[in-house]
Amino acid sequence: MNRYTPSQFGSRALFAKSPLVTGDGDRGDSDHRHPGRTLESVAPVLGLYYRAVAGRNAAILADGSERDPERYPDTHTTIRLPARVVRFALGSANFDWYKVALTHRAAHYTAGTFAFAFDREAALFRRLRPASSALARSEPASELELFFSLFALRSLAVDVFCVVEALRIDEWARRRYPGLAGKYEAVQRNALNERAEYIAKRSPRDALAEVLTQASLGARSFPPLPALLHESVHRVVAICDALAREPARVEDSAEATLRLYTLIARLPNLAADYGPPRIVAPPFRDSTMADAEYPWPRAWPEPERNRLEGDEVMHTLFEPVAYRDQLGSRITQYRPAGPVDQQSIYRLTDAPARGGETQRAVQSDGATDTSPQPPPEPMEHDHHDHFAGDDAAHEAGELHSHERMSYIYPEWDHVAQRYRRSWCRVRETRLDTAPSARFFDETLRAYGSLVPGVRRQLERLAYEGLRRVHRLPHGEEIDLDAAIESRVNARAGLAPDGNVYVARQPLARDVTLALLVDVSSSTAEHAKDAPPGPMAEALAKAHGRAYRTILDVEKEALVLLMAALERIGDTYGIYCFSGTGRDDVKFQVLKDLDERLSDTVATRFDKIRSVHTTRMAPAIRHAIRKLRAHESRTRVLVLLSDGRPFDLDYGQEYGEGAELSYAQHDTRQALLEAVQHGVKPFVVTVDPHGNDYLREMCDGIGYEVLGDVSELPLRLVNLYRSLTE
Amino acid sequence: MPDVRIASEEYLVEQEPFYLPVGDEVALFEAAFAQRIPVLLKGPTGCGKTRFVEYMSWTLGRGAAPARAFPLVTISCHEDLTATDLVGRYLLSAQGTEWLDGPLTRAVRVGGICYLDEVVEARKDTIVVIHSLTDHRRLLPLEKRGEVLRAHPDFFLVVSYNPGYQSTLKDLKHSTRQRFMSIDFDYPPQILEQKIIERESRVEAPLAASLAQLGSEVRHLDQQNLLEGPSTRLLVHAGRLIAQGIVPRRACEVAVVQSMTDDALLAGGVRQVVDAIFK
Repeated sequence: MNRYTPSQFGSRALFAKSPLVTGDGDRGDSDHRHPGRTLESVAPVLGLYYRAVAGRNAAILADGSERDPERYPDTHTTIRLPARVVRFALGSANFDWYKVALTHRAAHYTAGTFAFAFDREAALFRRLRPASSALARSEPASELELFFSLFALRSLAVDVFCVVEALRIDEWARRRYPGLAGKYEAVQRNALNERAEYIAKRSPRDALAEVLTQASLGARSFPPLPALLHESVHRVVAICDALAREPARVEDSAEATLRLYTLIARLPNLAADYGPPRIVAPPFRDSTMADAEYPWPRAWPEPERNRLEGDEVMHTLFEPVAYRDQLGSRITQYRPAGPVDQQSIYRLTDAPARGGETQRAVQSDGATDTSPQPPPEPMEHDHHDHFAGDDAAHEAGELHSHERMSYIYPEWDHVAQRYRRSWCRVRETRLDTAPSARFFDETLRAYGSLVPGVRRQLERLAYEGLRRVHRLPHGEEIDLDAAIESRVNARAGLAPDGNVYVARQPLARDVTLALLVDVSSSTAEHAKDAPPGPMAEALAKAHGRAYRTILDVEKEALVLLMAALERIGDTYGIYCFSGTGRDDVKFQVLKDLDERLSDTVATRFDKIRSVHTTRMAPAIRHAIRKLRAHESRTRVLVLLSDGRPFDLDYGQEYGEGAELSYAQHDTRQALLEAVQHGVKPFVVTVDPHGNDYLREMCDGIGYEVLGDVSELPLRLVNLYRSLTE
Repeated sequence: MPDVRIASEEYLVEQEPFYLPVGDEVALFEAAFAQRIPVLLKGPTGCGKTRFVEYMSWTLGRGAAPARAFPLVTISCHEDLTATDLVGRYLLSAQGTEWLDGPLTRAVRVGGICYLDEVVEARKDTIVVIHSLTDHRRLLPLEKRGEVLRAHPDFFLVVSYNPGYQSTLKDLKHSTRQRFMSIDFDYPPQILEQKIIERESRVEAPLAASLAQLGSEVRHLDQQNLLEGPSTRLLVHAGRLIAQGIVPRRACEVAVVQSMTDDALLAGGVRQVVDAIFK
């Protein structure tokens, strides 16, 4: 499955180099022509920024519209932002909007929104919450879930908490990042300007909710309101002022939520005539309003309410603030999607979770530990040892291998920035043999006139290259250093060393090649025919039909390369791969590294078929394993493909479109592992759109895009020549 | 002008170097010295390994009897370093040949700390010469002289290396590394790093705090080897430039951003953090 047009951001690597990004987006380069900013252009640099300030990684995805009430809330690993921001006249100010939005999201983690502990005291408010031991706790719930279970109108409480917590972390971020203070102000002013009309004609509850949101954005003057609301407005402002102060922590937001919820919920929820609106008189200086002796309800959890008219039908309206996020599922300890995790299994079976510590880590974070862990070393690609003792560390979804010739490999999760242990199963099989080596022979015959030339090219390579070798017993010239040393030794009464010559010696070739061939189903597509002539006829005979497919051309290239390699004596292996999901990556051996090119091997060509998808990384990892078993000075891994890496279940929990960039990162990581193990990787693709993704995937790694697949056979030989020179 | 030449085996750390212990490394080092177990220091560049060795040299020297000096011989290892360079060689002279001790031999003779910096940079066969020095034998064979040199009782070998990304291909032989007690160094925690920056660059506490914050945040990018650092040393450099009157953003640009990477995108990301922290 290839030839995907990149979805808008799915394929855009978060940290990939992009010519669109200059790296100093806030220096407003092209302000006059393009005042707006697109997420696409800012995501690479701001992705790095987010990762630095949040200490964690997330995929930054485009949102259809910021006004869409149904927009997906963020998760621990995905952030959604508008695809384009045109709020300000200056492009740099629009860039700053994105930066503030990401700072806000990062602050949820660094200022501890999800580290809420039910039993920890607030710094600024008296405690209204009961002790958690007093609450019935039927199932393991996160501390925030437990808190929200105090309220009869839970969603109202969640909304209030979101606003006050946003206020608290915004103020926290402004203190922590003085360089952003001015930008924060501009963004908040812009948000307030949009909301000028939001208060009028709303029901008292909605009006107070909006007053709260505006106060959280720094507003201290409000349009005229009915007298009914005035005292509450003073209290709202006083509570907001308290939360803006330095010692405020998430538990303060919780206490503030209890109070503000009370203020809002006791108001009528219907729009009616509540008397003439008047301006709420300043000053709002009375800090005692925040927590003065006021009859705040002390009975929590809240008893079943006598529902006021309208409670059921009318949800209190909190208009979202565009630059702030919603907490969404993050207040729970559920994972957003993906495989069932250990915790939910415990929840289902009602068994106590193993070890209190895992429980805590999950509660404070939901997905992974907050502290960034360096990725584990790539695991030894050994046959998976299922007797390993650390069962507790095993993640749900890990695979085990109990069969012969099946191997387990990790996978790189670029969003979480870590390896998933034991994530892919590679099944190695040998291609069946056919009765005759018809294809091999006929292809050689078809390329007949070209073959000797191709061979000669490689042969020349075999004898090219001379190396100066020092300290030899005889040679062309004297090795000065060695000669002096030898003289010195002789004078000092030591045995002189006679190895004092330099010589040029031919370089012995010591190359091992593993060639991985993509045989995914897309290789069944038709390829351009060979130019008409006797060669085309001969090829048609070899393929047994009038047209040829991409796979056919790949096979032709293999035959030609094998014929040439046999002549120069390099060790080589040829493997076909495809896959259907992570537990079944097929790795078919056409010729193994230590196999001879026998007639049996040659017959296997007839059994290569196009099947399934392109899961490259496990195949690469398996090929590395094979190469590592061979001591060679030069070890080369060539990956021959017709499209981008893709598989159905790649990174599926990161949302639609995520699998493309996920697959790319995993493949890139596998290629980097090759480098680490002293293997030289090279990618050849016949996908004419290959440049789109290979530029990122193979940054720092050699690759070549062939516009015309029919060039492949000759080109591959040439490439091999230049790779091993 | 006083003579500034010092023989390598006579170099003493005379003033107490500023070193802020992060964990139990001082006690470990002292215990290792008491038992003459060689020490391997691992850690990223600029996190204080060399400073620690100087500090320990000073500490141990202070504990030694006044008559006994406690020198520090530092050898920076590189690819072309040969065993001869370490041990010594014969030189031609007018009279014939003359033996010249290498720095390792000098340290073995007089005692004190011999510090092989970035030991993985040297070829593996070079490092093998220290093997007999690092076990119970404490001997250095001088093959060319047909001699064996018994190490001074105070001779103490310390090596350091940076197990970073670029050296995954270079690694110590197991037969070498399993002769050492290893102390793992990392950048100090933010609060200590702030104190170090404050002390080393003489900037005000809030500014040192901001620099330490910059350090700890940008280090989040070093996973997956996007970047290494910034080291404490770079942050101190930025602090010194600021103390000289350079505006903080500019100082961080030249001392941190540009020193960490040449990649425009990565530099852009780091710069965004700088701009957020400093006005």
